[in-house]
Amino acid sequence: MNMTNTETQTQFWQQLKQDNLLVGDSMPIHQMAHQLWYVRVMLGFAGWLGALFLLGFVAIGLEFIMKNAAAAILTGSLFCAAAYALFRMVKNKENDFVEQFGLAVSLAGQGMLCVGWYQQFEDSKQLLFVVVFAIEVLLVWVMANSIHRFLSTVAALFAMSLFLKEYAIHGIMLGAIAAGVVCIWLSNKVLLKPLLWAPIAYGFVCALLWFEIGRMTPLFRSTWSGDYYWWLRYAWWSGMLIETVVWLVATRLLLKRQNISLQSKQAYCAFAASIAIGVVSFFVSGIASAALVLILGFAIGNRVLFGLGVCGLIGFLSHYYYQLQATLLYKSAVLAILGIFLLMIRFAFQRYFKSGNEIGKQEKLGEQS
Amino acid sequence: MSEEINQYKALVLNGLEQGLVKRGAEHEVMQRAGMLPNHQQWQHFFDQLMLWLGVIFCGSSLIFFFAYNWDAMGKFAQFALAELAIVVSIAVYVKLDKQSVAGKACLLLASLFVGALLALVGQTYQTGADTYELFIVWAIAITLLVVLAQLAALWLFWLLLINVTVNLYFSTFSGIFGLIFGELAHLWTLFAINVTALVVWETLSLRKKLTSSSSHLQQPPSQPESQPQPRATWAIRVLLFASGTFITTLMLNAILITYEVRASSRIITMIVYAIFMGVGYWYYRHRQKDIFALAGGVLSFIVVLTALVAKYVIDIDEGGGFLLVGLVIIAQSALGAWWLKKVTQEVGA
Repeated sequence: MNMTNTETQTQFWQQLKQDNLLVGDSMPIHQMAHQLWYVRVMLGFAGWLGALFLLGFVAIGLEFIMKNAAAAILTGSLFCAAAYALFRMVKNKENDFVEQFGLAVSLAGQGMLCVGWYQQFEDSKQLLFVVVFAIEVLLVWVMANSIHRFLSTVAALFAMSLFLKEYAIHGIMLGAIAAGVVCIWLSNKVLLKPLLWAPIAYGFVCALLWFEIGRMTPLFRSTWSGDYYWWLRYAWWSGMLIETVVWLVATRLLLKRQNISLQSKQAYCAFAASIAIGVVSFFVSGIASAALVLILGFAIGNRVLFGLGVCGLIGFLSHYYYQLQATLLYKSAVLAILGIFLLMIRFAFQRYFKSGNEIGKQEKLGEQS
Repeated sequence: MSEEINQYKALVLNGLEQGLVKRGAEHEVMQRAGMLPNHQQWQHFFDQLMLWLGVIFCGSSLIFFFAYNWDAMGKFAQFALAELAIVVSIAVYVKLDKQSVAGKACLLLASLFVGALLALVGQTYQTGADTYELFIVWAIAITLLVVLAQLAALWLFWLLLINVTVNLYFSTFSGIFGLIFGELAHLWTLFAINVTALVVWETLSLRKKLTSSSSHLQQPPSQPESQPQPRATWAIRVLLFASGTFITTLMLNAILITYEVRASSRIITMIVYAIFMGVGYWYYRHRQKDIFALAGGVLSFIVVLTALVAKYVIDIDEGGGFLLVGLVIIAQSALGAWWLKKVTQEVGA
């Protein structure tokens, strides 16, 4: 860091201090920047690969463990406990080898736990999924490693979805995960305690997009059961309805953050767009979730979320071509109406808001409040 | 890489984490540091989002429409519709400012409509859907539009069409080409195309950067400073990802599937892999620092070395072999993490 940068930073911090936005007089201690997202992805993948081989070692070299439920659960628990100890040992220090080793040992341990509990609850999948969910939530809380927390968050949400699938109500998880995404990202948790909450927040986003992909694959397709007829038909719709409500809440929070009156034209436009996206998601699945991630990414200045949202939008739109619930003519009409509607909104937006009058009014309103 | 290092951002994030920002003032502080969008940025974002989504939805709509093959509409009417759509989008482009985003969006729309027209030709004259001819003609037909648009996304779309063409071509003629180039001919071709695109892209962005910095130096101080064109990092990363994936897959084939891959082919693969990794390391470590490229290289290296160790060790002792390979992966990734951290600190310093 050169002197100019340090001076500029000090000046900026002093200005914040003068404006009474800070607590205390000290400058923040410069900490090592958190690892870049793609380095984390690389390490997560390597940890997962290492865990597979460790699991292979136990399955082949110590075969009896995998054949006995109690032995698998005990060994898996010991592996997880060892990983916990390793993470605690290097907390606030930098030791990449120990962290990677801990990650691989814990993932291998979780694999053994799943095998053990599966043998234990072979006749009751519901119990198996509840136990896995509880284990993963516990691991999110106690394991002081961001990659681990991210993977455990995704695993916990996945286990919960599979549990709900047993009752054919897994569709509502869509709305629940979307609510989680908005609650975490639009609160200050990620900013104030990033080591704990950032991986959880990213876990929720990935789970949301994964869940949308999952509903297009046989993974989340329930087998027909007369007992759950109503839910089989309407759970997805309920999930999407909840997601639309989540969209409206997110819009309200973002408008508030920008000091825009809820009675302004801009606010009406934003709410109308939120409802439109919710309606569209009933026809083109995945659009509402991807757009939510995109908007949140822009709102909080997070380029990873923004990129995920763009990829999601392109992916879900491409997949729409292959969905069989509607004819191509119908899909074409849906897309044409939507496309023209969006371009008209843009036209109206340019015509009514680009003049600057409305913005000026809103800014004045913001200053007054 | 420079855009990733926002000194205010790091300062504010550290301040927030250490509890130095007053409760309730978090957003105000972030806004001042330029981390959150203001009214104007929101307006711009909303404007761009509506424009691009609207354009993509309209373009896709026409493609879906022709794919439906609606009998009630005559063939001539369908051709007229597709051609009219192309003409209108190009006419709007001509009318608009050529460098404006809306103008570029019109060219993207025209490119999609060309695809729809070609699909209609294929449908009408029974040349089949999803043939490699359709995609290569589509790519050739829109080349001029792509050059005019100067838009990274459209260039990548053009390259995607070429990639699809190669895949479809080799799935049709794998028999003949398989005899000459082996089973991996399509992977080699895809690697060659993507790596060439990567080299061309990097060279052009480097030249552009040099040109803008030299013109920047020549400007008299009274004139407003022209900003150097930003390097389309995301597009380059897509190409890096594609090239890296293809060459790593080729290496895995050379290591693991020895009975299908000839010895000479294996040696060539290893040489090409070594050159790709070596040149990549030199360029992205010393010339154009990019941690994404280096992290990708580390991952590729981990996968390749793991395959190599696994091949020789697991045959000797399965149980012990798995343990050893697991430990090798952990050691490699820890070493990779340490090195990447060091490079990140250097870049940030």
